Amino acid sequence: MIEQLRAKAKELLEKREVGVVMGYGRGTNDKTATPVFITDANRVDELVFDAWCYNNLLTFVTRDEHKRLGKAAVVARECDMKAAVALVQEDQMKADGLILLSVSCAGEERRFNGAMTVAEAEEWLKKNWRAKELSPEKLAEVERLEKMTDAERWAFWSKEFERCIKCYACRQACPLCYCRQCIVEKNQPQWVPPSAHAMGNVSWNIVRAFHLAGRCIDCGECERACPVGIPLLALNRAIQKEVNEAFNYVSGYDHTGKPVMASFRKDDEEEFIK
Amino acid sequence: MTEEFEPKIIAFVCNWCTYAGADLAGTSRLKYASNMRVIKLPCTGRIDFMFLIRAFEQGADAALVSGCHPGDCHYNEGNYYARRRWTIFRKLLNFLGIEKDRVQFSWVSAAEGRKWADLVNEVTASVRKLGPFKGYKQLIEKSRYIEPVEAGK
Repeated sequence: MIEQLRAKAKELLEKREVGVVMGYGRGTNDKTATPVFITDANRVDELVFDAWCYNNLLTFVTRDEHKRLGKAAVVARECDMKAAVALVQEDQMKADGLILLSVSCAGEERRFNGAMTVAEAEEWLKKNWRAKELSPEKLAEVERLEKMTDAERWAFWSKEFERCIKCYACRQACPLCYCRQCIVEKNQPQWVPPSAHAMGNVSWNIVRAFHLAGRCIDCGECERACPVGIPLLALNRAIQKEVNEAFNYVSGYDHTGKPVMASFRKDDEEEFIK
Repeated sequence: MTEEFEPKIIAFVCNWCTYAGADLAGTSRLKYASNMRVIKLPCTGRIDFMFLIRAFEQGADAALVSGCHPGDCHYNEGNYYARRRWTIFRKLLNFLGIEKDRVQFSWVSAAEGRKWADLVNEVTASVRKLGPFKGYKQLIEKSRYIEPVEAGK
């Protein structure tokens, strides 16, 4: 499987179809993997793909320092490919500005699905992945929390957010948090209190979750990156569920359509408005 | 002696409809609850959800967002975008454990002075029932600067 991946990467680099291959390489020991950015076809043997490869590499494609390397071919797990679809949808890159080297998700038998354009990836995802969205297993935690009273939920989240150290790893790991200047780095006015105190943590977590409303592709990178283990995915999925219920929309399956929160229908529900 | 709880409510209203409606309530000399602090913005589409969070951070017990009826927006479609945003935002707040009535929404046109007065009374009554926003007030309290202990003590 890894030989197929390396051969494809080599071919793309040799034919100069891409300037860089972003993939997983061996980390400091054999139980870690680190992102590698390969520009030389002779170095494709550095690519690996095993149980330790779980970052969402599409996080890097919107960064300026990586854009300079030219068109990218990115090793993307199946579920992560949705990020590419969403990035094209939000005009962060051209539909032909990226090649996806599709590999299987964590926990599955490792396979290479071949190189895909973003449009091809979208078709593939619709066929093989769409039905898995918002499954009962994924929503189990959300539903458990929804059954609680307001006060219990507040106590639950206050306790979780209390541990936040405001390292912003959730933001750094997120492929859709691509703003060059994040709202938390603005200080005129200072919208989010910068200290990692109780109030600042709640504000930050509300901002992070809501700025991803209707955009989050449920790759789970934020929760994985969180050093204190806040269940961020439950928060994201709660919003994902509401967006789907209200607007019948799941992010990451439509690279030509309008983002759900940047569009409207005149007959959107409004029973909550007096 | 205990004083009755007077909620502080921040209203974020659009310049063209609700603010004019509130103005009409005033010029018509309608009497209504004085718990609402009105902040005028160009359009409901301009109301960032951070405004509401900031209001809570500064001790508000509830927030009201009000603008033009659908189809009446001065900028044609600002309130439609806002409506989508609030549909999800109120659900998110509730998922975090904030009572639904802490953030309320309405459409009040420039001709609806009466509706504005009734709305303010209604919102005030519902927040009075909820009581002070203890959850956020605790956060504020916890986040205060704490005097460091002097050396040697």
